[in-house]
Amino acid sequence: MAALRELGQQEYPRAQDLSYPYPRFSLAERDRRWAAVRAEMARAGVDVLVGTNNSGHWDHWQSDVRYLTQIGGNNVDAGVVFPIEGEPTGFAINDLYWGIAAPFWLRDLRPTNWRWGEAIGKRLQELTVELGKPDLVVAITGLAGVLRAPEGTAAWGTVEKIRELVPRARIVNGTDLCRYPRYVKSAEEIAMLQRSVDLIEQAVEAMRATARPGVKECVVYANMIQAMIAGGGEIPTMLSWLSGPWGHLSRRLTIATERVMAKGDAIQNEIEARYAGYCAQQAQPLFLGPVPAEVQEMFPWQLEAFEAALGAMRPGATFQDVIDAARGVGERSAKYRTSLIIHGRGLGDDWPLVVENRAAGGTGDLMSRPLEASTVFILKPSAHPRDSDYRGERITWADTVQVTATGACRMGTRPPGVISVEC
Amino acid sequence: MAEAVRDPVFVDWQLPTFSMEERERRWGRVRALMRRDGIDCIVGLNSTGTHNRNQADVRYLTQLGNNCEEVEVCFPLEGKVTAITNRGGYWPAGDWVGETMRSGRGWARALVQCLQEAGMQRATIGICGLTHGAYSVVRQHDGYASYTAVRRLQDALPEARFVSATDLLGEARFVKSAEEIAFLRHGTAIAERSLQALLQTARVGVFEPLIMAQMYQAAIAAGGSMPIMFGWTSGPFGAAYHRIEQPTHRHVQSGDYLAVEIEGRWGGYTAQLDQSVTFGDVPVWARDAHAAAVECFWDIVQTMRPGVTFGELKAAAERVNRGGKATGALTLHGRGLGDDGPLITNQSQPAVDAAPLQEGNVFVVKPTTTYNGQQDVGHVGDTVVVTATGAERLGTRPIEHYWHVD
Repeated sequence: MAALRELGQQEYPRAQDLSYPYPRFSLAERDRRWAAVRAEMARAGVDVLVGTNNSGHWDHWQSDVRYLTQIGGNNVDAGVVFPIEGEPTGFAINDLYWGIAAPFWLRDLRPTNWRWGEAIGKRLQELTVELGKPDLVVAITGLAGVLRAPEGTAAWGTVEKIRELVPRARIVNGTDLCRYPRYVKSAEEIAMLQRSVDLIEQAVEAMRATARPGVKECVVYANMIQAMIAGGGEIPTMLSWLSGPWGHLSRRLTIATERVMAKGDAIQNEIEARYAGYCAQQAQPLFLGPVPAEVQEMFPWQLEAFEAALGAMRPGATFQDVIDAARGVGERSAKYRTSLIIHGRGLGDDWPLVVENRAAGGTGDLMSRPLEASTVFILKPSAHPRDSDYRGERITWADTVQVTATGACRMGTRPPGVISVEC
Repeated sequence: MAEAVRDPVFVDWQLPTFSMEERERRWGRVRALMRRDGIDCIVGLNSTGTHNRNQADVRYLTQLGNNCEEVEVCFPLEGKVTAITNRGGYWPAGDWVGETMRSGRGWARALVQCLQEAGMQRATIGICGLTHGAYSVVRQHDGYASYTAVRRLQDALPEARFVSATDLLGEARFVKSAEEIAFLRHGTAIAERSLQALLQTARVGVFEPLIMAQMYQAAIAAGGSMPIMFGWTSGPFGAAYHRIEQPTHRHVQSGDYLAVEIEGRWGGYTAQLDQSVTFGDVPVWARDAHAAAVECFWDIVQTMRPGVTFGELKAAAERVNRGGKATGALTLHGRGLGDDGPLITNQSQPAVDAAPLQEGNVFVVKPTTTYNGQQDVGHVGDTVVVTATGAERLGTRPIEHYWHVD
């Protein structure tokens, strides 16, 4: 094994040191995470957890790697070899890319020069010796069953190279190993998520201040992104966008076009902001001009569904309880129905995922598990006309919520409601 | 000529779109290469990593794939080209492929269905991004195609032969058409807007993320595509913190140096410019260090023309001297839909020295220079197209100008 670095050591002696301000987590947080993941590995009989580079889906696919190393952000490729005992190794393309936070956690940081399978495989060869086990059980996170990528995120060439370099190792899917440790958040994680919520609310204000008839949609979108980055937020971030005259909203896009907005237009969205990699989410509908009568009639049902779902979220309740609470509101309406989307929030692609009242993706045993304290979700119920499944005809106001020991609370502070811009 | 197939419902949400003539050119070129290489069908898997660069081949054939929207393509030698999206339906800029097939995140399953319907059970199938290449997938030595998706294709079509399509698509994408160059010119203009935002914002005492925020705002407000890569080197002149891709939470100080690699994207086409700026109390020779970077840039660009080799460009980059104070080295890579080659840096030296430039190649030229033995003291770069007789900058900013903020 290579010589280990001292924590906090600068790899560029000629340059300034690592005291450049940048959000990062404590060593206590590192130890908490590593212990939790190692407990999962022990239960699963896994010797080494491997995370390979894939910065797709707004960096969400690399969330396990960042959870264990702090490497990542703005599509920086990263990897990790995380043994059940001994020294974890973080990987980046070269020493320009592991960033300012990771050297405070990892004593073994290595460049891959873009050869991920080779670098990871060589470290696994070392561990074969260090652990005295030629037939290591190697779990690769992202091999399959990722929440929004059921076919996995690990590259074929990387996995094949690892197989070649450690032919006696047993390669298994490790996607589940970080899922539960990441599900329950520490105070430090919740603090980062709160910063993310604050950035989102600044973006909402930018939308409110910019959206006017005659303004291009992309300008509104640009000002929202500007607000996030100016406040210290990271890129990339997901900001979904539906726009146009009410009743004729566009399909859901992930960027705004140069279409010019007009009186009577609406914007619906899902707004993420990232802080130290952590992304909360909100949804905030906006109308240019008066809120249409149909929306005025429909929105109270949506808000009631939000409040009902929030009220149902407490330790010991099940996700089915939360779904039933949101859905039950609409059952009292002849014109509208209500449904629930809820999913975890954290470093990205956080477990679980409920879409339209049903467990989705690799959510696994979600429905049988009770909620726990210190979990964080985006809670986004919708109200729809009973005869419509089209996303552009529903209304959704949403916030990130935290489950505490006594119940759940919103993390945002903006008032519930749809925004009407006078024009 | 086939007719463009537009979304019949959502007509007002348009993104930059290429002509049907451009589609015929690309599809014809790729199919000619497929015939040459004995490939019956090309498949591109969904992969939005590395600033969306991993989906360049799919976008090249379909125009689809904005800001981490996942897309696949099934591109047979003859017959219907199918684009696959998570939700299906029509998409802005989807004129070439019309209605897309819905994957419901079962990406391999959808591709298998396409391949079976096209009779590809015993075919030779090229997978985009299965391996690394010199002119595409230049940064990922392991490729980027998903392990499990590839295995599922192999399992579903056990008599088919799977090969890498990386080199084929790299060859097709290496020479740009007039329409592609126009998109890259527009991308360069967007990058220049970001630079203007930087110059208007960057002052001593300013929170570095605010500078980047204004740059992003300028690019997106101009209709630019996301995600965008900005390389960021900041800190005391001569001792800046090394290149990162987002700023730290630092405030600009007198005596600072800031060098930024700025991508500008239009319709997914990614141009780039590089520019350094100094602040306050820096050495008097900072101006000449910048002049050395400019001289090196022009030494390279003025050498560029069809037939000149990359090896000759390396030699041209080493000419700069300035009385023994400066050195230069070639840093260059292709520009287009993403991960375009070749990638020539101090850490990446592909075996292309003898390869000649061709008319229609587009590169970012951003030499690495030192002055008084120090790096990160002056830097410029721009997107450059190789013309029939030489090379042309796509940017219009005064690249010779030394930007200093007092």
